[in-house]
Amino acid sequence: AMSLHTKMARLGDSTFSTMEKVNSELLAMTYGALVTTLIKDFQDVKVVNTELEKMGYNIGVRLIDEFLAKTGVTQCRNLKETAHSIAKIGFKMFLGINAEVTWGADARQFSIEFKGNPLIEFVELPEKFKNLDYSNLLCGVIRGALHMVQMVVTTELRKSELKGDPVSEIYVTLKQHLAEKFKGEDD
Amino acid sequence: MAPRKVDTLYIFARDGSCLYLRKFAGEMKQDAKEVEIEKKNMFGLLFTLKTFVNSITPRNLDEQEKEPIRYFQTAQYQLHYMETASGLRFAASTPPNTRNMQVALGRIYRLYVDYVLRNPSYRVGTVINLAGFNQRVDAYVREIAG
Repeated sequence: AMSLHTKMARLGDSTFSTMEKVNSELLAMTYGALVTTLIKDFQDVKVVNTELEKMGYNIGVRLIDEFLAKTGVTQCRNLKETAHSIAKIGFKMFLGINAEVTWGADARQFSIEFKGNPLIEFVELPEKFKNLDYSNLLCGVIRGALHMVQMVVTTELRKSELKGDPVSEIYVTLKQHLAEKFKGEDD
Repeated sequence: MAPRKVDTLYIFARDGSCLYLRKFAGEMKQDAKEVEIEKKNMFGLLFTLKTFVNSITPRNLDEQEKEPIRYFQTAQYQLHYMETASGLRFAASTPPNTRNMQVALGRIYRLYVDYVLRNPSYRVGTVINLAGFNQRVDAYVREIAG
């Protein structure tokens, strides 16, 4: 019997193979131009981090449906399955990379660890931008996508290969589950 | 595959708002108020039906196992339903005994992803008014009508 994680990894691989591909250099350079423009516009690294996360959120609220429609995943039974879906299926199909889940301080927290982030190819962070969370877009994507499946989370780029770490790490904390509600319910 | 004639297609958001209502047979109701009532009633029906079906299920289901409704049928028509984890609800009415409509709803979901969500001018959760999506849906509905 195949373990659930193996099934997920296979689904990630097979979905990735059906996805349209874009040249990774084009992606990296487009993203780099985006970050550079944000830095020019806002000057403050903290603000740029926030803007990247917001952009990611707006991508995430749309990306979730592409994920659901293309993988056929209907739901995750618990946070562990959700975490592995993001790492094994999501990261694979959208970024083409393998990611791992490590569990956090308690049942509501986990990390997604990954190497070879295509967004950072060719990038070197100068000293004055050492507090820039260059890949913060990805944190927003995760937050936006999970929000659409009724989970409110916070995300944090804890480690980055750009900052000398061996892997990149996004730390996710589940804040709350949203209940089913529709307008008119309070009428 | 046998022809599948879609009469009406509905797409609802999680909060009950109707993002899309399209009739492929017969005429759209002229009166805007009547259309609004139809949308509200359809969503209310689907929501209530889901709750009802889960409450009379013969064995205790935990949260994750709750029965998805696939369709209900009367002598006149069949109403097919598909709900996504993101709260989108697709419903389509067809003549009775139409099979493989879950596949069709899944294909329409894919069209929504490609022609609605990917359109930067579209704000998620608002009414869909996009020529590209309309064309693609029309073409698909024509294709499966045989």
